[in-house]
Amino acid sequence: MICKAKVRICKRPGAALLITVLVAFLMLSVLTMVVFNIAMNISHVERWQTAHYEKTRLVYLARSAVNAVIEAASDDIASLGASSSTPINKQGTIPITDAGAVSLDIVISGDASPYLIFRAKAYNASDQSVTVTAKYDTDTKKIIKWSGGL
Amino acid sequence: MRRGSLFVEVLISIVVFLIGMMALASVMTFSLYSVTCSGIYLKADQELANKVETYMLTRVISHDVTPSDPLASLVSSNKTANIGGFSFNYSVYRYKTPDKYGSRYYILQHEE
Repeated sequence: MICKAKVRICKRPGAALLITVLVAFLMLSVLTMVVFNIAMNISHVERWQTAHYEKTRLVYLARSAVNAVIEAASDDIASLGASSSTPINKQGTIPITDAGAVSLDIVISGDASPYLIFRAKAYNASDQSVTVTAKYDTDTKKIIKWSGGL
Repeated sequence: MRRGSLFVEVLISIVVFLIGMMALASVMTFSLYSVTCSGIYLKADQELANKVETYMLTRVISHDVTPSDPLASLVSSNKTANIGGFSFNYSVYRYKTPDKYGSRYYILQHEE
């Protein structure tokens, strides 16, 4: 008989095909799991990046606010009323409705001999905040030091 | 055993197998799409951040600049801020990339 040596296969003619298909299926499952795991990790990183991105947005807003205040003040630094005998400490809040619920607390302090400190704290509704400080030299009319940020 | 029952079993097996394969294929497609898009989004976001950063550096060096990049647009202008009696006018600019939804930065600009 032809099937004499292959009794097992002849009894189950689809076994080889079934095993091949099952092994292929298993391999594909493992491969899919690996790719899915990579995608989930990337998604996790993106979520972290989005949270970090909110803070970066606040940093740019705070830095540009400090710049804007210094640009405005440098035109007439005397209008701030600071002198070596009368140091100033001016504070104000700027709500930025265009950028969502973001607010800026600005502080100008110092005695203008020759430095003034400009500080901006940007914060959003999620209680994230960033503080940026610039040290301004009233003699050279230049920012000599930036600090804060991320 | 009835004639044709094997054929029905094979058909059912094929259907079950195809459903499994389609599920795996869709998971694989979604995953690869996520991986590909992530790179594109990251690049777009980083390019936008670089543009804002470049502008900020330019502005620190020279105060007489306004955002001129195509990705920058004026959001609001002629606003006044008061800091303990010291007032100044400002406008708000937005840097936004079309390549990633929600990716945008805002900056304040002093106006004369």
